Amino acid sequence: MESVSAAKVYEKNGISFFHIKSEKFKTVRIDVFFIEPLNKEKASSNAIIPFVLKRGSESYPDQQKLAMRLEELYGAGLSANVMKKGENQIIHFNADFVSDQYTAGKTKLFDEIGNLVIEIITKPALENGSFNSNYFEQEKGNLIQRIKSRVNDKVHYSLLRCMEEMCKDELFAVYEDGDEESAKALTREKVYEDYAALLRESPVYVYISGIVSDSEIKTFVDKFDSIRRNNIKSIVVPNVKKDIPEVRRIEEPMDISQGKLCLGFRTQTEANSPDYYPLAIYNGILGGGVQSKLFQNVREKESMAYFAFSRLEKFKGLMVVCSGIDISNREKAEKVIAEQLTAIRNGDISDFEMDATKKTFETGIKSMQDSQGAMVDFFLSQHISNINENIDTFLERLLEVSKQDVVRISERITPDTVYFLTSLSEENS
Amino acid sequence: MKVKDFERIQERIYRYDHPSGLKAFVIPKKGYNKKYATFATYYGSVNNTFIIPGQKNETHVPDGIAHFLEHKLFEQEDGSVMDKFSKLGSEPNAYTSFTQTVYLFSCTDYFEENFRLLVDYVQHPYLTDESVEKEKGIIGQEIKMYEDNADWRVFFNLLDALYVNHPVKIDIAGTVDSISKITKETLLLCYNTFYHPSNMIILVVGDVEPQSVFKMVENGIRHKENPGKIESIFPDEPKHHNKRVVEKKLAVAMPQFQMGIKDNSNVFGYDLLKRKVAIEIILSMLMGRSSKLYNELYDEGLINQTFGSEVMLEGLYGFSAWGGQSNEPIKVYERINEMLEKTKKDGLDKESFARIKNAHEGRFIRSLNSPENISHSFIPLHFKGADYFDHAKVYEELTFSDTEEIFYSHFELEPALSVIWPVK
Repeated sequence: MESVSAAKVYEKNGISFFHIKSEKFKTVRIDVFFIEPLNKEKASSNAIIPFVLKRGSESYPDQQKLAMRLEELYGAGLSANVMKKGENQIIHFNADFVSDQYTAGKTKLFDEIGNLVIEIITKPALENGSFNSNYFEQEKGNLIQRIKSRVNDKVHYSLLRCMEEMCKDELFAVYEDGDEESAKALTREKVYEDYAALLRESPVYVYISGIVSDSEIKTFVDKFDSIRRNNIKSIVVPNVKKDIPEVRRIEEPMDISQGKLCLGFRTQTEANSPDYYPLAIYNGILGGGVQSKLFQNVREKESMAYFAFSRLEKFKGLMVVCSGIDISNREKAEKVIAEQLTAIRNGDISDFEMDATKKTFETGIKSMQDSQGAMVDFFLSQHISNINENIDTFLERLLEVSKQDVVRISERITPDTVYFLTSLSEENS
Repeated sequence: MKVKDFERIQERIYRYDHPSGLKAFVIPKKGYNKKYATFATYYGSVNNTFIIPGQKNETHVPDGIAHFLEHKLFEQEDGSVMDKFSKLGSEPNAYTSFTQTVYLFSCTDYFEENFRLLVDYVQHPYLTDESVEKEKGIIGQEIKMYEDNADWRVFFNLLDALYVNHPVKIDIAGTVDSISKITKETLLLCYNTFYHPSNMIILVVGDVEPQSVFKMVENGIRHKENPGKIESIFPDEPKHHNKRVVEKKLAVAMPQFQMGIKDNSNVFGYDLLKRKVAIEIILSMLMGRSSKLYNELYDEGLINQTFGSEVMLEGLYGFSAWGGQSNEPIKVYERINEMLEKTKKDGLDKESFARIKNAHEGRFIRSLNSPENISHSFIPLHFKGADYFDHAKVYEELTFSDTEEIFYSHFELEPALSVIWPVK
């Protein structure tokens, strides 16, 4: 069986258009990504842009009118968000709607919604040549709250904080929505300038998923000609190599009942390196699922935790191990985690661990093709890091990894930072 | 084997009734790589008091036991069944909700081996005193994780505000104290009572051959004598809410709130589905993205994008809930109550009804891409006698006057409020 591919259908003015053809879905998706180099000064400004744009456009000047329009279009979803891959900040617009076969032939949804997406991105509701000031101020307030609310999800927060501490002198430490101070300092005029620059200079990736005809795509693509483009920026390839003379220890007290222990490592491996594949297998054996050493030992054997996993930040070459534990178990947990890394380095990898990890990847990659959103994310990651593997060859590269490859990779996994989210006082635990 | 077609949404369900009383379903998903299989029992956290078939007296078990049993079923005499699934590259999982416990795997290859494994292990509990004790450490950490989780706490505190006696207000995993009382014997007692095939269903969503799935079900389900009716006992629940407001402090940046209202309709089957869909549509009309109130509150900075709503109708109990983050949850509470009172006087807005109903149908169709979503929605509705795919029929049949009638009966009480305030 041949896997799904993302066929590049057009490329002009630094905008690449792909069609992910697959007929089994009931929906069509449009995804537009603007790729910006991560930058402390501009991160908050870029982050507010999609939220201000979603407040209203020329034809739908407020979000109530826009919401009504989406309801008329068979409950189409329109979302905007900001994310980070490596040292790139990505501004993402997405529309998700039912295929025409479910609209009783009443309307051509792709055409209608394609126009709407382009209008939202390029024709915001304006006031004196800049963004609507109410929308801007409200979204500024929301952005500041979003930044503050990072703390709400304790697992996610501890992972982010660990990576922030690891990279405190590198661009990667900048969050996808920037920081509170720069968010507070945002002005409407400056953000509008940054918005114009984003439209003009960012590399753009557009993915169309589902049943759409070539002529419909052509019409949609041509509408992007209205955007004036020049000085297209290049996509950042972050440095992943770093010597760590000494492991740093960070403790952050908070009013919580369960501690979160995060151990950050440098993988010293680029996303587009052939060594990425053994690294992925390494991470899987260590902490990527129920067959992994962390799950088997920290949870099943020691009953110390409900969850224990490791995760890669592929683009920046980071790996973080994370587990939720009793505050008093911190030392013991660190010891058990360290033992798992040592075991892999000593070649203590069973055939079961190797096979189960590979099969888990195989299942994951095949299953990914049952979700339009997951495929878009996969192809975007490939495209921005200039990796040519398609889904099939990507899987092949993973399956051909040997135990020796994993041991070889394990030798370069460098401990960097130990972060512990702890309770306010030892007595609380 | 029976076949039912749902033309509007281009879906089909195959059904097989096993002599034991178990029902098996296949929902084909042509061209999908993933096969998603579930084995579920109509037994969840609310079933903490029951009469064992053949006995007269009520049995009461510790809070969190259904969830505990879910954890322990993975353990088999020859080790954890998770390892066996892992060998096949599939992802095993399980979850316990208020009214059901669901065991599942997701695979792309070796479907038959995986499926036989699922059918087999759920029917073979293997418990030892030692392994039960050991699990208390793991579940204890799971409970602690949820203690720090504001989304979870704000929701359970709302249930505490809504319900005076009903066990739905009790945390699904129980407490560290309640699970300390769980033993091998109490677990087996619950297993033997609720894991009878007549109380269970199997569902496979994916590109599989229904005949061969049903053949495996036929051969894999062990015949057990039908014990008769399994009777769960629920305390009398007054019609009114327990408390108007429940408040708590946690380490969050901004207050979080949930408002809710108890549904006393006690409906089942198609009526339940129709009522659920109608309340969902009503909530969109009153406070959804296109409503006047949502946009006013948003423009005034009183709510943000996290605002959302949900409806849960479980037959013997039910509620709707809505909320998100707000710096002034009390003000939002008052504004929503004012709007509800005004709507009760003026009636619902007929003009928005058709548009919003149409949008809900579109969202329903969009959700059918996901085998996980189909399974998670299908199972609880099935246990309540409703068919998930009948959503399409409801969207076709539901009228404005039905909806208005449901509005008046659902929104009788003044909503209750749960707030999580930031510490400091």
